[in-house]
Amino acid sequence: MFVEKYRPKKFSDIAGQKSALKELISWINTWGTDKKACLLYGPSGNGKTTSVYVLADEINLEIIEMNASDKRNAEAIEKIVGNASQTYSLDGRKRIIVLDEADNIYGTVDKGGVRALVKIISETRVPIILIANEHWNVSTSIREKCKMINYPKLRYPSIAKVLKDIAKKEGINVSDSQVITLAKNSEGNLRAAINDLENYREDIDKIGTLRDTKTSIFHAIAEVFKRRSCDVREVFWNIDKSPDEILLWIDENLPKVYEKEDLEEAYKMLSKADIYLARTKRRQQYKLWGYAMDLMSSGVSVARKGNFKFTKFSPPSYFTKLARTKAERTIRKDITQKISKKCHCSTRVAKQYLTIAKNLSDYFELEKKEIEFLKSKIYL
Amino acid sequence: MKIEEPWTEKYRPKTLDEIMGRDYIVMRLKSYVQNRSMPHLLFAGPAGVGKTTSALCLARELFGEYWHQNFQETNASDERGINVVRNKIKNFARTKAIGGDFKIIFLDEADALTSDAQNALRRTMELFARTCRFILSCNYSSKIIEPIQSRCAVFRFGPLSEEAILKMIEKMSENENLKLTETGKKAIIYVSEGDMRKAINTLQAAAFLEKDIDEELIYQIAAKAKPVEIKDMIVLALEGQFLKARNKLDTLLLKYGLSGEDILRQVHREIFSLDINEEKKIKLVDMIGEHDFRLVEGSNERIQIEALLAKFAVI
Repeated sequence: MFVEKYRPKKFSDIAGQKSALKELISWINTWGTDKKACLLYGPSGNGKTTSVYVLADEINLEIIEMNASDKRNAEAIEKIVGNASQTYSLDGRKRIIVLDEADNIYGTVDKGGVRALVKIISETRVPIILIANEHWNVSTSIREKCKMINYPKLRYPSIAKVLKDIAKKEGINVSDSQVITLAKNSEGNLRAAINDLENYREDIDKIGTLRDTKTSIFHAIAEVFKRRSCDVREVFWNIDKSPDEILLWIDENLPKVYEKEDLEEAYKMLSKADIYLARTKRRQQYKLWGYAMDLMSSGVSVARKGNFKFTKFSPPSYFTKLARTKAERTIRKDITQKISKKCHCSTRVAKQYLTIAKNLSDYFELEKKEIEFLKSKIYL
Repeated sequence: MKIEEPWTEKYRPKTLDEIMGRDYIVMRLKSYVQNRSMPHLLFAGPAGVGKTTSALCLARELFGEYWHQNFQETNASDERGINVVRNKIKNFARTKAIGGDFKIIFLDEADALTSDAQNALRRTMELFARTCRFILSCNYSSKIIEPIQSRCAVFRFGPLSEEAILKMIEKMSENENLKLTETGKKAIIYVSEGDMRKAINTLQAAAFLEKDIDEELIYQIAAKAKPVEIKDMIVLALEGQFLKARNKLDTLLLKYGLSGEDILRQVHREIFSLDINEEKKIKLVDMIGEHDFRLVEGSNERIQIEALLAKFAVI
């Protein structure tokens, strides 16, 4: 597999993560002076795990890895990580402990895992690296002990460059524009892009339609808005999306095409479709899915009386908005937890202090980004 | 004498070439066989459209006589917790393949895995990629977490074409010496709704009863009314002939023994072929949906469907 074959061996091979790598290297070089663990976080397929392996290679460290496929309760963590954190390896190499998928230490199955980890980080004699997609899923008590290193989503030109190199070495005949399409389709996920290149090497023309759900859903919603016919329901039979997702796609784009009465009528359909979806879930009656689908597709399609105006469609923004507020909610939660400790109250009561907390930041021991968050908000 | 087996197994394609109506996917899978290498795969699509069959054929062609040893099938909806991934799957993944470079784990209904379990799968897929490839099957790929999707080549299996189903049932009826009428074939296609397993099971069930198979028998076995009877009932109701429509309904309920749910499902299907304008169709669909829901909540099916038929008259 290309992904394994071309996994970077040196820092200079890692695409588009210069500043993260710089932070990582300086952290390891000055280890012992600052935080004993660091947390690499960012979306999947952008070089986090790879850079740890390259790091170990370049400065000759032995890696002790624990990932979500291992049991990670208190006992297991102490046994494996705890021992490793106190000793050198047999061949005298220095060790490094890697906890991949650190956002997935689970409450019930991995009982006590978080607490054990916090303890080990405090006591460790070797560097510990945690890797996660979403840092807010790593518990605060762990995050506090880590240097945070962000691996941002890769930009498509960096991905395109890697793809081009691989294509050249493998003798795959692919044009610049195809490489760029592949890179853009991957949405910042280099691994996905490389897999696509490998998978479609003999069929490069098909590249436009890959990771394809996007292209086809765009096509499908265009049909809904354009055709004014009950037949559009059939368009969705071949789309790899569940009804609740399709509802969001139509909701996102509907107001760009429909106006006034048409919009009202179409939203009536979406509202009804939503009720059918809820009934489907609540009663476990999957027979009702069909009605939801028909109303959101054919119903919306037929609701239009006015002219069709062509616009650019976009994916549902609701998810990204939700993710964004999730980060905010996490900061807010962290702050209220600090306040509740200092003021002997519940986190609910602690919210009262949010408005004055920025002026008392030293007292509450707030971090820079927390103070910035408080300052940036008028309503708290 | 040979033990009789389900026809779904008897006629399950053994080679990629035998798979019907999946030309593009088959072409891709064959190129994996040719290169003796494959990425992790994700098969998405509804039931009975060839996901498992494609995986089995691929394994057979890749591993030849050793395919049984190198192919592990796990149904995730039976065992879907994180411990399955950490124990059973990981153990199979880490052992060496027999007579080949890698083996295949086929994880059926992978969307039934909890997201914890899916996360536990991520590194396993990578760490043991040298010895083991995964094929995940699911209804919607979006129910699979992104980090796993990006490790896989995704194939979408849509409902099968009528042509593919027709070819299969014609082949079977010839093989089994059945006399299947043209309307009988149409009926099987109608009741199967693009699901090959359903089509084959219906035909076998019919063949247990008779060798001459016509549409009556098929609809009877599938517990479905003839589409035309459903349509008659709808048209009568739309024309305001309530009593006649209700007589039809009673026949369906009592004589054919259909459930209210079955009837409404078919009524829903027939709406789109009616000769009425599109706005009206949507209104009808919404009404049917409402009454289908009332079937769940209510206790008397007949009353709920009667109320629906009465509504049809005033629309």
